[in-house]
Amino acid sequence: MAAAQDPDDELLGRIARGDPAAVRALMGRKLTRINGLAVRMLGDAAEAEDVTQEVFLRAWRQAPRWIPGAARFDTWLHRVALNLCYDRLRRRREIPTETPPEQTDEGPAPDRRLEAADVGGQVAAAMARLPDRQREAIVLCHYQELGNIEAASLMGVSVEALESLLSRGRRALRLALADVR
Amino acid sequence: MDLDRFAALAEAYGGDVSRWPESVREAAALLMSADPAATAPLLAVQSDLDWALDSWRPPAASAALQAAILAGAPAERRGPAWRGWIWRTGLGAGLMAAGAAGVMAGVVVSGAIAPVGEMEVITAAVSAYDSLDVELVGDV
Repeated sequence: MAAAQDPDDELLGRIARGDPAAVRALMGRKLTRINGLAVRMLGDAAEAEDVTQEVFLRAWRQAPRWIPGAARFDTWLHRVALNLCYDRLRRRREIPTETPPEQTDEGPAPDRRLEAADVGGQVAAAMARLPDRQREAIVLCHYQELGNIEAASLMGVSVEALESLLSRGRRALRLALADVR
Repeated sequence: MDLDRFAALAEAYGGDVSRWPESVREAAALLMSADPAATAPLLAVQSDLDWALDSWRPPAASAALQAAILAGAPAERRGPAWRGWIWRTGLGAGLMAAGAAGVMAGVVVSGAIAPVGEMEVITAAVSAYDSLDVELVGDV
């Protein structure tokens, strides 16, 4: 029982009672994680902060209703964050912008053979060009370090389908980042 | 586990076998021991990609975001407003002092009239007034 207990349950109970120290503790525990998820899904820091703020507002509202043991709070938080990210990604597709349409990267063009001065920036650009579901799989498994069963459950797919999304995504990234290093 | 499955797992989960699903790690370790020449290059290719992925570090959340999140949190529950007013005016301290003096006077008088054996009961009763200020102010 103790081993399976969600480490966030105790904080949520205190938050429901209006304990400011618990509020700060939960924010310290989850902020970087959730904001990182949103940045990597959306590729836009300002939009990611909007999403992160909304995620936490929903968490505060959820705290008094939270039933310890019914679910993992971190999984619930990821679900909320992913839903909000997908809302924004859908809105982007509905509103034509200057952003080029999503496409699979065919590999580095000759003029993109750069020194790996900003590998992170190149990764960000390559991730942004991935199909949403492949990007989501990589974000959940590689960056958020969720287990395959939890990630597949969050995405509503089988573990086999998750592995397929991961493989295709990583293959596309390897092609896109072939000039790195 | 055969080499094809090993390659598929490496492609999906990367070059660090400790990050693969727990259910396949043991079989993967056996294959790595049995055929390092075939398995090591598969992992090396994926480790290169892992390294590149890890170099993308999102910016830290801004101070404005943190302030907005805290501003939306459930408010700290406080006692009634009149309690703070009473303390700010000094009335609370006065009441507490008066109350404490009354209790101590009671102890002295009780000591004079009570048998020695009952003194422990009286002392225990007085020591239970840890929250003397709250009790006294609450009665105002």
